[in-house]
Amino acid sequence: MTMPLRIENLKISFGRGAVEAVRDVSLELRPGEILAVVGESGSGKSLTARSVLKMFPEGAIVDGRISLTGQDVLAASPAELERLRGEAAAMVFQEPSTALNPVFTIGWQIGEGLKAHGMRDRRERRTRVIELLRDVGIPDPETRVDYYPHQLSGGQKQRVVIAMALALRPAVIIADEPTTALDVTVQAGILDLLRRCRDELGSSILIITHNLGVVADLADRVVVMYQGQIVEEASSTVLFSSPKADYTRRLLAAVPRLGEGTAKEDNTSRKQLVLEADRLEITFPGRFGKTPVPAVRGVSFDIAAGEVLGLVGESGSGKSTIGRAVVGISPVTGGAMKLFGTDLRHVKGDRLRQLRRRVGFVFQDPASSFNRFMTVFDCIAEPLRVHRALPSAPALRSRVLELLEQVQLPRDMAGRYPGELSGGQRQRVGLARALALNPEFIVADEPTSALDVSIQAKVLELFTTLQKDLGFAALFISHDLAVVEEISHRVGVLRHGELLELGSAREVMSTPRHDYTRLLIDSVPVPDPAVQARKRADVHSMLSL
Amino acid sequence: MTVFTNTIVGGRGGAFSRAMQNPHLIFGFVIIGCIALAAVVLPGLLGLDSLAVDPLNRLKPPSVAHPLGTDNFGRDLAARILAGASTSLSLATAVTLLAASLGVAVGIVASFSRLLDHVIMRICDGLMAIPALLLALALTATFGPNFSNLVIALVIVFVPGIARLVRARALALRSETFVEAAIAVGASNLHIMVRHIFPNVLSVLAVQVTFIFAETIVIEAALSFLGAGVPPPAPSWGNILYDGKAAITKAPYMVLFASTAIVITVTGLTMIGDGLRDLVDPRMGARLQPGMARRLFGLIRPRTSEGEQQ
Repeated sequence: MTMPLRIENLKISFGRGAVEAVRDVSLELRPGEILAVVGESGSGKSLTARSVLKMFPEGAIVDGRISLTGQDVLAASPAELERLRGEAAAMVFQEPSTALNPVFTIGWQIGEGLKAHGMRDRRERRTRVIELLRDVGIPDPETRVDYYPHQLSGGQKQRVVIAMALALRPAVIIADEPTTALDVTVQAGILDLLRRCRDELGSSILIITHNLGVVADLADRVVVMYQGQIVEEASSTVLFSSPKADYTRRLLAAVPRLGEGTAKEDNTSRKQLVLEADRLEITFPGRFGKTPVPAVRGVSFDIAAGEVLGLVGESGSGKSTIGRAVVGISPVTGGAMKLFGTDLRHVKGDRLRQLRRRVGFVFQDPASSFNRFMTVFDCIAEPLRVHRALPSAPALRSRVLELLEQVQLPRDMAGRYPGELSGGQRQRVGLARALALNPEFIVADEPTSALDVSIQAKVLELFTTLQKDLGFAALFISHDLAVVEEISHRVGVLRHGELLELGSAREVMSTPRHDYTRLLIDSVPVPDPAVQARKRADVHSMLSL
Repeated sequence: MTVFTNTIVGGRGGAFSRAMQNPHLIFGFVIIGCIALAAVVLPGLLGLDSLAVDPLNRLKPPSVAHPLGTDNFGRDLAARILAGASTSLSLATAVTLLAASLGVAVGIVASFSRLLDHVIMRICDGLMAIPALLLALALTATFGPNFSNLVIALVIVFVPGIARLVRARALALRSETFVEAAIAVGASNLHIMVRHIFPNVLSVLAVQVTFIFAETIVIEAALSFLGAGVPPPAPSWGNILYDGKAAITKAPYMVLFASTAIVITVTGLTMIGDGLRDLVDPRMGARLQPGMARRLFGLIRPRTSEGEQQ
């Protein structure tokens, strides 16, 4: 029989062959199979997946053969292509909020594909759309069919996108990082849904991801890509138990695993407190008659000198808001937040600037946290210049070079612009900037969530070493439990602006007291198919309770 | 291995090398450069006097002695159009520079204070509610028509637009992470305005400024035509048009040559504006194709997203 999808010797290059993004990739997707393509950014995995629907970025030069349900995609005429897209293969995108058009109802958007492929009767279409929404687990689909995308949560939007993909019952579903933009607990639901698509509808699924946990959870077979080439192809059980390629082994080693973090002796004395939050409240004022939005409600914690406190939570839990409040970017509206013993509610102007001088801040997205008109040197020197910390230009120069060395970047980086650096290098520059004034306290807001796992591992290692050497206290904010466990002494779990649990990293991870913490821990897919299957069963029993 | 993560995007060359690959920008600059050069060099070189009256040779068609003919006072039309170019270009330069600097200052300051923002923006709204030409006409009629009053009037006309544009961009920039990063290290507002907001506003400003330059030339011509611009006998394209209107049946070339000059200048400026916009837009960086002819062809060829097959 014909394979749903077969790619042979696919080559994609740009700039007249100057950049080879995909080199000689061949793979096939069997009926009813879930095949995962794994790789880091720039490995060509997304390009490969998009080429199945003949969607290339401008300027791409393509060579090879792609046969989708027996038909050659690259040679297809525009009319044939229109039919293939949607009917033979459909795509699920990464970011559900941009994949849906905000000005149309979700029912209209799902129906659009049905109409394009010949379902003319409106009532018939509507019934089918409602049926689809029910299939993907949207509660009360009769009402929700007339909702606009902004009325749904992120997970529900992704379900709608999947419903759009399923509308014409395609033989192949291509899911490009379908859960990357979602929280772990929501991710678990979407992965279940994809699995059901395969089990109940018999679709073959090609899933693109960088998350090895997702692979272990879902995939039957795995293709590992690196720099545009396939380095390893194996069934998922084999790949995780005995990886053959060097790169796969490195990738697996770089993934932080829950419950395997080394215990850190907590020898910090609680006498000297860097940060104290007492029943902290942060409420964003509502505009023009809208109700104010409480972001943080009654959170109490403290950080001792030299201690790393990890804050974990899903999006909207208020974890970033707390971090921003420390440097006064978010206002404290209730309770007390004392930084070095000074209450942030009653400090303004020069006193606030002096406080900020003692705190470093590392931002989430290294791409946007630098002014693209400033060189790396200027970026790192900025805090020193702002506070006139060093007397002369040579002193400034040697301090910046010293900082570059501390974050393990070569000296000649100083003259380059942030845009020319890779994500990992940029985050190192971000770290150097935060360290410039020798702060006693560092706030790191998701510093590694925009990075690939192997780079994340290196940046975390650097952070830990610097923390030990320089002895600063830190508030480490992340959505990734494994990362937080690896790096912090104590961990706090936030949900909807409330602190549910606070304890030593080991205690919280091994014996969580709160149900939500347990759900959070169990929702993280583990890069091991056997363990993950057991965990999945646990989560199911928990959710059904 | 981190080195390879950026390779797909490809390195963006320096601004100059990218500018050299932008046909709009090059043509625009060549046109405007030629006009400016001609206006500065040619009158001296050929001994042209835009004010020399020759009553015997009134409204003469183009000849060897007068390549573009003469006007209703027998003045050499070539000399007057060249002198008009220098009037128009210097006026537009003065207006653009003043309006841009004032607009940027007002826009950035407005984005930092809510109270000031409301006050300034309502004033801008008020000024923008009146059509530009009408406002300029009213202002020059009040102040009296001469060069500096014309500059003041046109600056008042253009500042609100620039201020709004800059303010909108500055407000968006204020929520960018790198600005928050600067706040977090304790930088003062002035530092943030100068070091972070200003350079990032320049890109949108550069585009807007070229269009304002072009618009100034058109408005100046219109005002002069209506008698509220540069007072005669000083040469200006608007004045030539006005004179040409009276003699349009006898010497249609007067109107023709003057308006051609305006059209070429404005086209050149619009091309610069378009080119700058492409240059400023970071998405254009990866899209350059080798070969001048190919790129020119690319201006009219539809874009495809389906890739090319070998």
